[in-house]
Amino acid sequence: MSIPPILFGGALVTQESSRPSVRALVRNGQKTETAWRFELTEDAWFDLVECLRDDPAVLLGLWCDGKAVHAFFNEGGVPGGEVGLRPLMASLALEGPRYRGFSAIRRRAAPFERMIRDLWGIEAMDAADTRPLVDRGAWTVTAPLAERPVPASGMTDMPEFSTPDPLVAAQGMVFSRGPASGGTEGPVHFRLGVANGRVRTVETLTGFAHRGMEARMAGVSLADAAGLSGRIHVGATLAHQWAFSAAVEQAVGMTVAPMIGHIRAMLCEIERIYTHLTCLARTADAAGAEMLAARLYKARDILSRVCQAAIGRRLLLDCVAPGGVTLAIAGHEQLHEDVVLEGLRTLCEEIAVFGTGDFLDIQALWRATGVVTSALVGEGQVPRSLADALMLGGAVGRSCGRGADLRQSMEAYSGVRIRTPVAIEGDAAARCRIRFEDIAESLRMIAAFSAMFTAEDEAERASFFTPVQVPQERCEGYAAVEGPDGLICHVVILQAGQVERTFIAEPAGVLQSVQETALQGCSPSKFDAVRCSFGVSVAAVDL
Amino acid sequence: MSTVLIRALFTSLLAPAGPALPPVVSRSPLVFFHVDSGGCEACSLEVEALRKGDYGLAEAGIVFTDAPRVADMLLVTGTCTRMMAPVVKAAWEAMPQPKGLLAVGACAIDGGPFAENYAVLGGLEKRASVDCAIPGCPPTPDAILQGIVSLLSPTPAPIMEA
Repeated sequence: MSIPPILFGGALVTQESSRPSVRALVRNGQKTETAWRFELTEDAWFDLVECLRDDPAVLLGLWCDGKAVHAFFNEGGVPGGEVGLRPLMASLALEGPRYRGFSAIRRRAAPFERMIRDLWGIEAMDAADTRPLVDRGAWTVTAPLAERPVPASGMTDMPEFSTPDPLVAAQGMVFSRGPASGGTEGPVHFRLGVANGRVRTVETLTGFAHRGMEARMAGVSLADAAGLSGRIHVGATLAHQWAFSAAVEQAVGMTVAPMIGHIRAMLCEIERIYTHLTCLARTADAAGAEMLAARLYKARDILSRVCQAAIGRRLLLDCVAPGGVTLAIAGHEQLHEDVVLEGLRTLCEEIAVFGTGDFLDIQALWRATGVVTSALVGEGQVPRSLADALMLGGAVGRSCGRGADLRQSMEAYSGVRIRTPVAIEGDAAARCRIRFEDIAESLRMIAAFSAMFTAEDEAERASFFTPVQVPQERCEGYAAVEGPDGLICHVVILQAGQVERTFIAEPAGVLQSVQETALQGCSPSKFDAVRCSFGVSVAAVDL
Repeated sequence: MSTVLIRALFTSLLAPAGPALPPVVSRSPLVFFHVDSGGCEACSLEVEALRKGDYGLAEAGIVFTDAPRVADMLLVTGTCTRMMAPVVKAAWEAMPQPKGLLAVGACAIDGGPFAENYAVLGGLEKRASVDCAIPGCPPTPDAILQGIVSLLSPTPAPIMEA
């Protein structure tokens, strides 16, 4: 007879819950050729959804390829810090046009489920949000990626909106804005219900910028797919190029030199500065701080010019490709490692000048400008509970006290100390403050990378670009990068010498739904400034 | 003679009613309405850099407006998606005569990396008479400015080098 272990005070050790973990459930599925992907039966998939209720596993992406639905998880929580990137992919072979959705339990899944429904005509059962995301009836076919798409009946005259809020209907007004407003928000339509001097309802009509990235990045050559990965949206072009390239490298089992990782990380930090400056400039402009906006726009333009001069890429498009980095130093046709390093050192020096001069002035000016500081306090507040439920990252998540940062566990950032700024207020003012602090951190990291580029070690001077040979047999790879607005994730399937399929996870889809919620209650005059503080890119939402 | 001038002349001669409008080139300031019709936002970011940056647009008599009803030129960036096509058309029709069309970036010209598919129509080149096309993926603000200036200059230079 076995005696249960006794703790101090005579209490019995509590028995572990019999419910299996997500890891165990997924790993119990049928193994595939890819070590981290498992095929689940429908029953196991149902169990998996239920199991997510009290498991820390985070859903990074949910995609479809017509034959199966694939759910991509990270074990243990949002990758970053102590939790590294430990991916697991569960695949469910589709037997009909439905599958059990995740969004009722994991709200992050909603944009993915909406996209799958619009592109493939496959619906998520028990979905939290059943609105269309990109298909508004203007396409030539419905469910365009399905095996047999149905010809569309033609565009309806008016988009469908939900019934107005009773208070707005009784004594308020409905304002519409976009998709061509002459402003900076891109092709998107907002419908605001305003009553008693406050925005009560916000509806966002997306889909105007949908280009079909998923279809375009399927069945194409590696070079074409790499070029397209940089054109998902310009605010995170480098992060997407890096994630795609790293996924391809992981699929073919290629390891790039540490120096290439550092160059990619340095460029990613420049992009973070760019994107934050653009977002801050737009916020300042919308808030009426014209002088501040002009300074921010000018700073961004100067950085772009410096990049153009040093590495031949003004907006960092086409900088990274599978197998290395593809920089074109001005005046040098032949890509030589010494020239690249020299160009990068110059770039780091120029950015350091910005960090010690202009940036500090702009930051001081921001703090002294009331319309962007005190006026934005308490506006567009994102509750911590919402941020936790959606597992937000980037500036929006960090302003709500969520400090997960994938850079802390990325090999490319080894040797660089990473301090992730965090605030707890969750309002527009906090988001802007976090962006400034993020820029300061990125500047510090760029200075640290600069010291690495001066390494005279011959071993470090490996070629900066080695073309990748895509194998004929099927192989799959994944990668995640901390982009300017949060975690960016790519899963790539290679087959027959080309890119068979690319799955893209963008934080913009979730951020757009947060923005919609947080803008309710703000003053109409501050609507644009608060909206800009989220920095949501329409191109990234629509894909 | 530039296409804009020819169009302005024809419009003033063939307009059904109303007073003859002055040709577009004599207007000062020249008013632009910008529409992003889809794409990766790089071109619209460069147009934004040109508008808000230190490029001296106002001094050159170039302004941007939020309303197509008062615009002389329609500046389009990005490939034309099927959802944006009626929007671009509506903006064009809302503009008073004479008017011109400026396509900025490879996407707006011929679709660039985003050619025609179920959601995208492609560039404006084959669908409309473009007065000035500025190639590049994306073109720099300097190249865009050069393209706009070429519209104002007496020597026609409809296609600029990136």
